[in-house]
Amino acid sequence: MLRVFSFGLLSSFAILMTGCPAQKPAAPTGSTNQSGTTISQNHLAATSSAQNSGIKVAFVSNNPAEFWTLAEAGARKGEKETGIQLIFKRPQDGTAATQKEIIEDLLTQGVKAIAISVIDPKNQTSFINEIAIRVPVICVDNDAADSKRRCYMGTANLQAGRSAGKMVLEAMPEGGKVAIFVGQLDPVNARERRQGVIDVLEGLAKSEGLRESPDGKKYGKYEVIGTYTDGVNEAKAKDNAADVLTRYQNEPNLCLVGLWAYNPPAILGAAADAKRLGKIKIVGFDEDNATLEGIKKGDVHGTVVQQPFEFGYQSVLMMTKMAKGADVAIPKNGIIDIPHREIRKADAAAFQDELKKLQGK
Amino acid sequence: MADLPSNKRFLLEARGVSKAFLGARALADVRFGIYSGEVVALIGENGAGKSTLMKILAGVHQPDSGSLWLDGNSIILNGPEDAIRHGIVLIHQELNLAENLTIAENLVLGREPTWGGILGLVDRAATRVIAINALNRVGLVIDPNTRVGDLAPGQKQLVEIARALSLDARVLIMDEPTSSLSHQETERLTEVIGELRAKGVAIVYISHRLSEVSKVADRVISLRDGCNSGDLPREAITHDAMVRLMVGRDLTRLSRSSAKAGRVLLSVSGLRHQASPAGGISFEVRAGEVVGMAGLVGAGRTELAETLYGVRPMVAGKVTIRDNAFQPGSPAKAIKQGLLLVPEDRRHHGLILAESIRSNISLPNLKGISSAGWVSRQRENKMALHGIAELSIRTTGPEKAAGQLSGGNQQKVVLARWLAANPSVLMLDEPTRGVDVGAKSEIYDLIGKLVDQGLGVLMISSDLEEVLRLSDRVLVLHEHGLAGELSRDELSEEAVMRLATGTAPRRTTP
Amino acid sequence: MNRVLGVFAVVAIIYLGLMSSDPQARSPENHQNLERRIGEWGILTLGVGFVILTGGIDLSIGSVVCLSAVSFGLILENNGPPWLAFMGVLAMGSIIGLIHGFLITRLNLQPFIVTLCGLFIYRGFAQLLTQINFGTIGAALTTGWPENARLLRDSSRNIGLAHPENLAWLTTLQKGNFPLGEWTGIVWLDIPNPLILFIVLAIAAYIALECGAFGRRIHALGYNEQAARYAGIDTASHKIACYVICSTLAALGGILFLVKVPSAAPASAGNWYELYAITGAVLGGFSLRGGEGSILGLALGTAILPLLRSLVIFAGIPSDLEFMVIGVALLLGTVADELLRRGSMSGVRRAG
Repeated sequence: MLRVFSFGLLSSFAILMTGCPAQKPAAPTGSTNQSGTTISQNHLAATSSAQNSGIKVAFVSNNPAEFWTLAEAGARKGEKETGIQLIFKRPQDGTAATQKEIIEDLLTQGVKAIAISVIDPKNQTSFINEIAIRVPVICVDNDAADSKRRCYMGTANLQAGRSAGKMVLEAMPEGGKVAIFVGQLDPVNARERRQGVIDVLEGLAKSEGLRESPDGKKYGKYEVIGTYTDGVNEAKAKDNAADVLTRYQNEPNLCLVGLWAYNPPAILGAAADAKRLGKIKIVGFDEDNATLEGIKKGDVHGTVVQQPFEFGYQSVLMMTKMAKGADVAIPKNGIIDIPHREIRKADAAAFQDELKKLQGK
Repeated sequence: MADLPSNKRFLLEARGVSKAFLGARALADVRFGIYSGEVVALIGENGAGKSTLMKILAGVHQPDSGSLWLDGNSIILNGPEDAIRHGIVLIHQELNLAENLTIAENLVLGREPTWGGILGLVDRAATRVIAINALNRVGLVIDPNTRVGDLAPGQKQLVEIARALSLDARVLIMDEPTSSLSHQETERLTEVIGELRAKGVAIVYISHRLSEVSKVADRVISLRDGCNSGDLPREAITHDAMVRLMVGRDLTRLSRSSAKAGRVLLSVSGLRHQASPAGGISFEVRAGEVVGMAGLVGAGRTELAETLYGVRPMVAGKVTIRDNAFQPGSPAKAIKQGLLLVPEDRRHHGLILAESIRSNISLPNLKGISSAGWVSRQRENKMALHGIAELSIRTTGPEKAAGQLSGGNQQKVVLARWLAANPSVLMLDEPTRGVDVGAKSEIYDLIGKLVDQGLGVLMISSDLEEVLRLSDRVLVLHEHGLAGELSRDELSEEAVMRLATGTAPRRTTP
Repeated sequence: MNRVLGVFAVVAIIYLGLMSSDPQARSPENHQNLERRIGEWGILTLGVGFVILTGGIDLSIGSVVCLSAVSFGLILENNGPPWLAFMGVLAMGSIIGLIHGFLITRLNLQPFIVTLCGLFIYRGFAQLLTQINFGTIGAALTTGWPENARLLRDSSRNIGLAHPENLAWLTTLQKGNFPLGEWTGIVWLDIPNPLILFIVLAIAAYIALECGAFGRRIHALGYNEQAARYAGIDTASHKIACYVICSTLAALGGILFLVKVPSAAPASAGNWYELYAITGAVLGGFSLRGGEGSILGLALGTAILPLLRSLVIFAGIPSDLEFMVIGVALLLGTVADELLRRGSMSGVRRAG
């Protein structure tokens, strides 16, 4: 459940062609301003509050994790700007069954468009297709690529994984052992991130999706000693990291990679307890405060963050249009990439400030 | 050995049967025989081998040596199913009925008539016919769709017999069939047994209640220590003769000189619980007397004792113990005042069967043998050994689990517990139920000794013989009210039954 | 005693398996990690042991762990003094136990239902707590309702450990070692404090249950509540006491959880803990029917889960198989134990 992903602003990727806005004259494509925030105020012109009042759209996350707090903040911003009525739901137990019930109830309530963070892509596809007949569906954060959803909006996890892999290379250029930590391996994002990391270690210039890449194998100079799951339990995550640190306590070149938000703090905690901070390398995902503090201190080499605020905001703008039957421009591959960003020691402090601003603190 | 018509052949016979469990001898060279249309009572103290013999006859156990004969043919029973196929059916003391099913469903359980071929749907109409026929044979007039759980104990017994008969039983083995029956139900069962006998069914009747045995049995076979200890033909069956065979000696009959009653220990006036009629019940128990409490099952005797003990709520009434007002509320309160209860249901209410004799005796008395919550094992052992000696509990030691003792010894453990608790008034609810003759007389002796020491005893019993023998006065309950009180001079079985059945005019207590 | 031998055999086999899986598994560090985890689990298992002895069950432990972790974190976050937070959370645990006990004994509700409701309620309450803007309340109390202020945030959030510098004693309790090794120079004797805490609590429980009148009564009422009642035992208050002990220890476990992680996600912290705790107690010989169980067995039963988890990592068993390995090992342990017991025990156990 707690697959907390992070927040991020614009990375070096260009988003001009991949943004979601419509190509109508009244609604020019989204653009990027200097500070790196995706700007979509333009939509306001097309969607005045009065016109939209009474129309309901819904956003259904995949679990109740904190990650979605930022997404909801973004979505609420969109709600305010468009005047549409937004229903934001989080399945408390993070199961596909609960999510299905929530979505069914929302359809009964008459929502006109729905954004879903898919929990089990393969098995939920037919269900998503059923919904897609009734209302426009977009997948956010987690995709069901084979379904009839209008588009996927989120981080390209393979690319995000590659960014993390790049950080492993930087942190441990001489090669060594790499251990990967994650809550569960079923979700696509976990597998794609892992794949991205491994592809970079192996020296592949481009990632071509998921492929066979087992644990316990050498990829270039790097051996992936294991992928350790914790069933989304922070305490277990910490125990896992502690066990790996114990098992490889004499290993000079050891890099621990945490794929979900709570993993890097768990690794940090275990390393601190084992008095191995600074002796091992840590690379993470997402923007947990402990992770960012660790980066500032130099205990964590870097983290890859995504932009949940944008997930929420952009999806509401898009759903508003869809709900009204307006044309929505969608790239051919159906993917609207909300780019991720790499945070290293130099960026950490500034990033924390940006984060605070978005959280309204 | 009684003379038996030698021209007749036994329907079921056991010859020279021996059986040992883990090296301990249970039966040695025992013979047993029963003719069709005969009622044979199997008597003996607990541990004499009755139940082992019964289980061998019913195919539950296989004999180590010896043989079984049915209609003159040697048979081998490899299990109860074998026995049932031969028409030998055992009815357990604890009935094996599914309480959640109806009578009809119980009667056809495991051989339901079905229709619809492979679907195996239960044929309700056929079931009903089978059930009504079976119930007719035992003279039970009741809707076969009644849930067994809603039946009275006697009715359940009859349903069990009906089930046995519908299995074409030729030999019916009944283990303590009346232990949970009321007087009337027992009478009814006796009638049914008579009818079955007339139809040629052989009945093996096992009971501790010798008065019943003398009423129903054509012949008595007695066991002692795993051996035959003698038979009695119909005309020789008397209480004393049976006891002599079972115990091997004459029991001194208790003839308590009507003790001089002392001060009032327990005084109850207008006591009512939830089921009580208006007015409630008033009575007294004095030091040095045994007050018997008789009545039919369901007359409210147990409820009365439990209300005083604080197990069920008191609705109204005034209770004083040794002239101090007492408000029943919990067993703990009653125990503090020395008002103690030996409950009817020993296994569920009296003892922790899985725990040792020691723990069971010390359980309510822990306060006295512990300091700062720490139990002194030494004082506890002393208490347990004292109880074991005083009540001559037959055990290998204080650590033996209470559940491994015989009924009589279990009851003695409950008594030992209360003797250590400084009793003032002892309420005994069916104190000798499921207790064998030897232990029974020991318990009677103990009751006598206790009242001589100045205790008051309130004794509830369905065993009229026991009530008449021990009581100084008898209170008779009828439908939760006091139907009357009988002094020792007025006591007779008839007088008690008249009051208990509500046929006597209600008398006020003196 | 045979039950204890059975668990001991299971523990020994898993331990030997772990030790032979990897040289580093034999290191003092690994032993300290294991000991610390056994201590952490043991505290929860001990609590549920009391409840199981009465023939009850507590399914709310994981949620109480979560609620306690969140409450503790929130008090510190709002600058509450640590000792007050500590005592307050323990008191909250006791009150939860009191409520459970009261509902079970006075209203005669089934422990399963009562604590199952607790499982939902406390987790939900923990989520609600993390949404409350305590700052707003504070301001409202002093200067009136601030403009535009909201009492609740939009959603729950993770609670961290604020001002850890004020928590040296608690951090030591969670992360420190009892420096026996330092004194003796034998590194193996450095025993993590959570294990020390568990041992101290277990000894206290042993004394109470095996030597004290309290334990006698608990055993008696666990075996046969009616008989215990007829013997004059105040069964209600003894049961309540057991539920209080259980929930209070769960609260202590929650505090240690937050100090350990140090972050609690209200939706997931402590998930499944009640089942792990119950499993430990049952493996240790506690009968879910009540009345039966020894503290020594419980301690051994507690050790099985951390050992197995560690084995999965050190033996390089794929993480995906972890649940299966745990489940199969537990099942085998239980079956072996039952067979051992059948071989050695006969006779009457309980009525009806």
